[in-house]
Amino acid sequence: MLAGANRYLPIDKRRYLLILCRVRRKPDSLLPIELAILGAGLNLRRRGEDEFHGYAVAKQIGEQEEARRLTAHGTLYRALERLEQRKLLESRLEDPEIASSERRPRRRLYTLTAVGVAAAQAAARPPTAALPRQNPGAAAL
Amino acid sequence: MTAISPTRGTVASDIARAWLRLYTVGLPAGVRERRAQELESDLWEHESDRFAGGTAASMVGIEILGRMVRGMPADLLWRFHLEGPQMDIKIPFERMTGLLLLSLVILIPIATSINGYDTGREGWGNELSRLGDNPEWQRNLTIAFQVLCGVALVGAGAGFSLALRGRSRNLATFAAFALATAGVLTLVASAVYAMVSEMATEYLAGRGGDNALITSRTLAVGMDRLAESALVLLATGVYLLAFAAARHALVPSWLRWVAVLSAVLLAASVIADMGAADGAAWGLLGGALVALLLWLLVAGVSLLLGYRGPAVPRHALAAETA
Repeated sequence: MLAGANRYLPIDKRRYLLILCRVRRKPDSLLPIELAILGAGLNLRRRGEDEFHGYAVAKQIGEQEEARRLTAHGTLYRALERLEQRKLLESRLEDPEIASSERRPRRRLYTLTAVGVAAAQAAARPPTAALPRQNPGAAAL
Repeated sequence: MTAISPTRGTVASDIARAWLRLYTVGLPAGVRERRAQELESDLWEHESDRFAGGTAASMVGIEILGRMVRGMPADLLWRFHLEGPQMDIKIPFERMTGLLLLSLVILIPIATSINGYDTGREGWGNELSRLGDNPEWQRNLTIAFQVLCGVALVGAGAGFSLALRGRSRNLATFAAFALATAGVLTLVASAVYAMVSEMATEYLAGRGGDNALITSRTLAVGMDRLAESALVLLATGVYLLAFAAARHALVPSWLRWVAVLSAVLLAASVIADMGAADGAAWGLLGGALVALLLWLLVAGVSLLLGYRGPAVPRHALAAETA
């Protein structure tokens, strides 16, 4: 092996990322997937499941939206992480003994924070300035 | 260690795990572990939920693959955002070269594969009918493979030039040129094959007659020559790479003798061919190819697994310490 030879091939990805860097979100806005997760969390909470794991959320969203497909891994867990960073969710790893006794991998359990509950309720509420409803299904959208 | 109840464990789950390992490679252990834990739990819940509902394993696999593929853009964006635009992606030189060598193990047989038809004047009509009898999808698949292989060889040439330029600039340039030219010849051969295939269809339909026979045979002979030239260029490229690898002790030292053996057998094959000893020429050519592929395979795996040069003898270490 040559001493001091460059062992790595650096690839500058800055130029490829320019397009991504220009994408900015409004600070308080929530993406549809984030709203769907909060809504799913609220529904699970109403059913007495204060803590929920990722797959339960994906399944709940599928049932809520009557979607045939479950939310993709990448989309779901990135959105859960963003919600956690914005303090709308909290998470913890479950007790290893529970997972061990049920002979399955440990779950990461998420909980809606007070801010998260408020955001989910606000999102579920129909807009106050809305015109009298002509289409009964519109509020759910 | 926790004993986890096995679900049926679809192949799709393994693919999803492999994808996770790929897009999190090089990240801090904590970040990787969290991603892995989330995915592991999700896959387990998904499989056990669906299997409990009586869903077939194949359907569950498709669902998992679908979720993985649809989430890929989000995974990649997450990775880019995590690293920030200032960070460079670092590809270890040895791994890249190893992967390129292993890719040649697949590409060389495709590029040099003989078309399988006897181009002798006597029985060419039967050979052309045999080609025309092959289903169209099969012929299209052969062309697609050859085109893919040609493009990949050009890419491999560029890759070697990039990977080795810091060590043996001249050798890397010559090797890259040889591989890329072989790639171009493979592309030309695929175009010629497409023409012969079309003529075979026409010939079977009773159109073209003798003209189709003569033209298609000429093209088939040309295709054989193209495959031979591609083989010589590929072999030259690999021998140059072997020389560079031996010079910088990038692969086990005994491998140089495998490359030398391959070169000697190839030269002997050419001489035997000129002496009209067809049987011997084919045998020698086969031996040369096997040795060549063996070199590529062992060198590729060694580099991929991080070969770190020859072991230093103990007495030398002791002398150094003293």
